[in-house]
Amino acid sequence: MSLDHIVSVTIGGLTVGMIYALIALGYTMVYGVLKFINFAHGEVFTIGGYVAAFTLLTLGVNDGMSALAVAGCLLAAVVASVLVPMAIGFLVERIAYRPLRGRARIIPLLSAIGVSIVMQQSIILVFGSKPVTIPTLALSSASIVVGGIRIRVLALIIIVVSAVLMAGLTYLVKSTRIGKAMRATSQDMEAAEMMGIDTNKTIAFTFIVGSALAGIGGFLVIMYYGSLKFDAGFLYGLKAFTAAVLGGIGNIPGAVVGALVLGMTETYGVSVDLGFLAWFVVAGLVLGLYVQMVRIPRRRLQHIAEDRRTPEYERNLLNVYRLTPYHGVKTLLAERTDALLSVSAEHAVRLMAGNIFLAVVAAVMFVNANVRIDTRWQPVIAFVVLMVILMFRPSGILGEAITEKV
Amino acid sequence: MVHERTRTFLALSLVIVLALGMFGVTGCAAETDGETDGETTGEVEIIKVGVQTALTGPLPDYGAAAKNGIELAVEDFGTFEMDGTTYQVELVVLDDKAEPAESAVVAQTMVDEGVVGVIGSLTTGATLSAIPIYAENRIPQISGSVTGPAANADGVDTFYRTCWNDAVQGEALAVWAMELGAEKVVLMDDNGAYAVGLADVAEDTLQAEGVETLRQNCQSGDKDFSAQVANVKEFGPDAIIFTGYHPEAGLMRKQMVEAGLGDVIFMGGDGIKSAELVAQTGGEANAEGIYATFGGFPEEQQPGYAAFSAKYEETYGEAVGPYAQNNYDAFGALIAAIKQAGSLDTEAIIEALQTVEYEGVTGTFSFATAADGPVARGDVVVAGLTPANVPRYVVEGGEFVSVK
Repeated sequence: MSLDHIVSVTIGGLTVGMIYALIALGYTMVYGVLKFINFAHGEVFTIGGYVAAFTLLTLGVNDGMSALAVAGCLLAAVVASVLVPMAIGFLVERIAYRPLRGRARIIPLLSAIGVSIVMQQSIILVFGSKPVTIPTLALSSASIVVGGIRIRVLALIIIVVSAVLMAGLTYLVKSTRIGKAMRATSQDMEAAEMMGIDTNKTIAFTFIVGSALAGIGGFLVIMYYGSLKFDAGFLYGLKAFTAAVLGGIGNIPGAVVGALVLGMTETYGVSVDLGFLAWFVVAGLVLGLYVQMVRIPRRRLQHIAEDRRTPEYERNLLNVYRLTPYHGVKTLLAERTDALLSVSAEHAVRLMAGNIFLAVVAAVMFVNANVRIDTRWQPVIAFVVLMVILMFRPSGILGEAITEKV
Repeated sequence: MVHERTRTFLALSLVIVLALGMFGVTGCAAETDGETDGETTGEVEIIKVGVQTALTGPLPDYGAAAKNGIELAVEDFGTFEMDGTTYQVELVVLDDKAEPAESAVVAQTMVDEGVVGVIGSLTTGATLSAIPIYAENRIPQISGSVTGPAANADGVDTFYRTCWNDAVQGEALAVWAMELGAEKVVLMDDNGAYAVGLADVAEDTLQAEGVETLRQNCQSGDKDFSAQVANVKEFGPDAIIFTGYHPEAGLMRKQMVEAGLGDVIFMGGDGIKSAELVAQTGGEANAEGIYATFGGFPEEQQPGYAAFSAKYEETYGEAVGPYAQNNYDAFGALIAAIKQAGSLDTEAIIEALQTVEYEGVTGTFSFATAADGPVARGDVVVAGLTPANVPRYVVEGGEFVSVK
């Protein structure tokens, strides 16, 4: 395995992950505010891609044009692929979801599935069932060579643009008035309304922003892959939704982290040797041990009344979590009257079982260091990693924390 | 009152059902009688031939084309004379919806109908569940469109096909790659039965000749192949054989070109031989030089095609549908076997199918009597076909053109 190989796989994984992230943000924002999964979101992404392709084809973009003209065409495509999904996001919310708000949760969900089918069929009606393709531009096939390693310019652009958009979104939610309104609506819709927040407007805004991001995702995909099929949104939507859950649904940075983990797993899983992958398991193990021995005892101690938090008690709790065999077993067997200590001991044993599992996995991988997993297992690997992560952290990597308190 | 009325109704229904049943039975009996004492000269005897196809389901156009082809064949060969008796074929057309479960039901119905042979079914997946039923009841089955190598894995002597086994293309691709001087070859499939079968055969053929291979896979519907491209780049092959379909093949080719692997020979089976492929690769420049094989001789090389297509268009008012001529030949071959056997005993017909040599629309062919490498029992053996002269195409100027 050469450095060249690892770099190209990493760039590939990051690119895929960033595209998942752009879509995942829409899922997670809507969930954060409404506790509702907008299954039509994947189709919004497809429409973004189709609109971009349609704009480029209508303008007849090709490399014969001057650089300025090409840039103009691309700009027009970006604008179109943002505006149209924005309008669709707004309309869908207004027509299919708002009238159902306050009903049982399953009802808007069904409505979302219906909208998704309608949108997919509409794409076929408007653009036909053949995949849409755009001519290859110099930009989309250009690559730079750094230290003998070939990297596609467009991959770098996708990574940078997505990162900037995500930073912008974080700023929007955290530090602006409308962001504050979003967080308030997410926390308690009725209370937010009483405080004078127009929740309808806020929710519409959430849909519009999510759809715009998905639209840009569609634009980047059509530029990067050169073609898009009417049903692409299904798979992308499914993966982005998975990424959102993986990172902690409702959590904006979580969606990005989840998407990157998913994208990297998909590419790394089947294109680097097990010996290399094992280091990731080792990193997971180290992180697990750190969390168990330092983070959790510290958090637990915060829940204990001041007067009981004696240095001796702290030491006891720490020992239980460090699973010093003697202390752990003693606490388990002694049936201490202190409920927290016994519960913690059991917790610690469970955590340790997980760590041992990771250690065994890492050991097996190191033994088979030169083996590479067959690409046939690509979708399975992503699923297994997802399950393992959700087993250790049911609320996702960064937790389900919807949004911070206003 | 209510009870009494119900009872009367029930009794009446019972009488009607019984009466109908009696009529039905007599009807059947009369027909069987006709079959057994049809030895007298000059009498017309009806024989039943089953058509198991999929008129509904995912491939209705294929199903309709198969039925059309067979009906044309009935017009041409459906009435024949044997030992002084004139026989007339009556088709029993049943729809298996291209579903395995439905296919088993259809096969059983065919057996109950007492057909002397079956043309069909349409798809490999559905055929798999019908084959054992026909084999057990000793009814010969000839398909005109089942191309999957998995179809006759058990090697039963009741299954025959007039279309080429996909495996032929697998071997042809491997042979072609070696002709082009490839010493390291990547095989890539899309995890579907068709693609995996093709890639398996190609891989076996290449490895037998000492060519180094690497197997890669994707999923149908995948867009990103960065993992596979990186693996291919590391392996450094001379050629890649992609056995899936054109949407993924085009994207794979595009991403390989973008990763600087444009010089690697890109080949595939009939799954990639589509005009769509060029658009999927991102333009003519990327598609240039892609090689593809095809699972049948081109129409202009099929001796009876011109006449067949003229008749087809005249009868149905549309262009010849997929595999219609293979189904036409399937029916023709069945009748030829019956004539050769000189009897309507299915055991004798099966016996005759092993040796029959038939001159059809698609060419002169016989059926393989034993499995041999990629060839399964009952596969069509086309006169003069070798892995090296399976039709070859190359993309030139954005179109597939025949390689001479």
